[in-house]
Amino acid sequence: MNRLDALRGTTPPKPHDARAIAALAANPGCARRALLDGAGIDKDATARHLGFPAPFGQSPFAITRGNAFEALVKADGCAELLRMLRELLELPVAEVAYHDVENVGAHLRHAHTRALFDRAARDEHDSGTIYDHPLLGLEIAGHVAYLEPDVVAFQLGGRFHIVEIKSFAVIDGQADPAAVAAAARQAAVYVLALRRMLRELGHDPLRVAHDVVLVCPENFANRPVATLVDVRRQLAVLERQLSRMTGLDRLVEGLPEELTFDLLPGEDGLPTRPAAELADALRRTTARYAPDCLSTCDLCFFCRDEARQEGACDLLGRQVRDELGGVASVEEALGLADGTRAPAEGQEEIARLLRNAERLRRECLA
Amino acid sequence: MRRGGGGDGLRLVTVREQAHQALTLLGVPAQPRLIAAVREAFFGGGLRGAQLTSLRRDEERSFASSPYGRPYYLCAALTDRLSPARGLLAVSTWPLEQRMVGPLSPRVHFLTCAVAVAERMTAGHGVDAGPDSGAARLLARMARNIPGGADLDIGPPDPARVIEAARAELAVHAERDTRDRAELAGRAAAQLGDRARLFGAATLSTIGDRAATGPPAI
Repeated sequence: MNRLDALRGTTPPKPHDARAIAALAANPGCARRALLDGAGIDKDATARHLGFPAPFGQSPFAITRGNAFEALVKADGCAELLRMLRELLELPVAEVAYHDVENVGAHLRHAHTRALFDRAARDEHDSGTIYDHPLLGLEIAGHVAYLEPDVVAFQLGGRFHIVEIKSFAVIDGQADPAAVAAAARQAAVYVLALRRMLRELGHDPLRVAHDVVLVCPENFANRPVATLVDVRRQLAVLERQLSRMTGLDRLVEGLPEELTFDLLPGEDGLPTRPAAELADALRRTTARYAPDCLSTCDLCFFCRDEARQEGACDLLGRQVRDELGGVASVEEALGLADGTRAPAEGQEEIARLLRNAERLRRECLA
Repeated sequence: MRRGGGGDGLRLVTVREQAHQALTLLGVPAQPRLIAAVREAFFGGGLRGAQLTSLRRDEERSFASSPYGRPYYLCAALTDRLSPARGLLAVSTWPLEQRMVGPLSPRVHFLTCAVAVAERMTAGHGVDAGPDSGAARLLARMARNIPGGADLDIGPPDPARVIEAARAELAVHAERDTRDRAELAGRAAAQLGDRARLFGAATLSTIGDRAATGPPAI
């Protein structure tokens, strides 16, 4: 991992949080992001220094709303949550034991969580049912990231369920698919972290259910409702992505020896490295920009700018890029369509489709 | 301290007394949010949960400067690690067991509160028990989360039915909860000084450490 540390240079590493890890799974093909995350580089500071700050992070209003909703769900000894778990998972009435892991100091919470879960997994009876804010650890490329699920519920047939409390509304049984997908990815990170913890403790990791309980406000009221979300697919993506991160050596090997993304922070912590030099260094790695990046990655504006300069098809979204397989830029696609450019080997099929589309378009407009 | 009576809003009652009244009605440690709701339902509004956040610290300071100088203190409920439980207020004159929070206690507290609120409504006490009153709304919110406490959101809940449903669930948890809390109270009495007994001990050990030195809590 020394090579990765060299990429980061003298800048202190930035710990990952669940959102950052979930975002890894959102764009697994991006080598630039994999390298930056693997080296623990502060992408936000990098983007700001490059002159492409992302208006990123949650709005304070969303955070306040989220916290208020979580407090509502957990009020009165998790009364609302217990009702939902009883309805959804047929939790027995006797199962109400509640452990507030936040009652211990911050430095002890991880150890306390381990001890509590070890006891729960060891002895089927007499252990807790609801664990409020446990602290899990997940090793990402040599650094431990600490993660804090909202709630972990246990004792539903001896299995652990991750409970994720989100404040976006479920209206008439429907929720914003992007929000649900993001919540599922985040919950998958928790499932993975908890499974690894159980494995380390010598228990069966599959005792962590792949169905997570998503709690959202229902319709236009603030009344919470719970649904089960299957995160197996997200888990698979995440696991593959994390195993790739440990296999970063391959990506690193292709890079020039002297390459570094160091910001060279001065004594006041502000970067002193010329922005153009840093931008050149970053361009040595391949990014895989997609419009979705705008909601998950700090470097999104930098990569978008790069994609624009290249006129890359990536700008048009993943679906278009996949349809245009083998055609790198918009200019190339247009050339193939109006016949000014001869298709290269392997491009015959897409060129025929593009020419047909162009003919149809002309006929429509004529 | 004056108790009962409708909220005429003109009497000067300190935040501390208001919280004490609500806690005495409930009889168990409670969160500021619930204390404010009970205040509003039975004694007239004016108390906000946020006003209670610094109360415990002020009380502790007062106790430290002149121990037992007041007839009662609003103090902490204690966890199984004898540390103060997050966000719960209790009354110092309660027996120690009543201020302990075992694993089942949050649920037991909730059910006990529901019974207390419903009893208060049936007893009258000049409470406006109409379907739109604060008391009815508070009870409806609680009844929804008790099995058999309410029909599907139709009409205001029947206090007698809520009491019955809550007692039925309480019966399931009561024995183990009482045992846990008695054991905790014994430990607190043996290990803590006056101030820590009211306001909780600092947390320094994990449960692993404790298992090595004493009997497990649960």
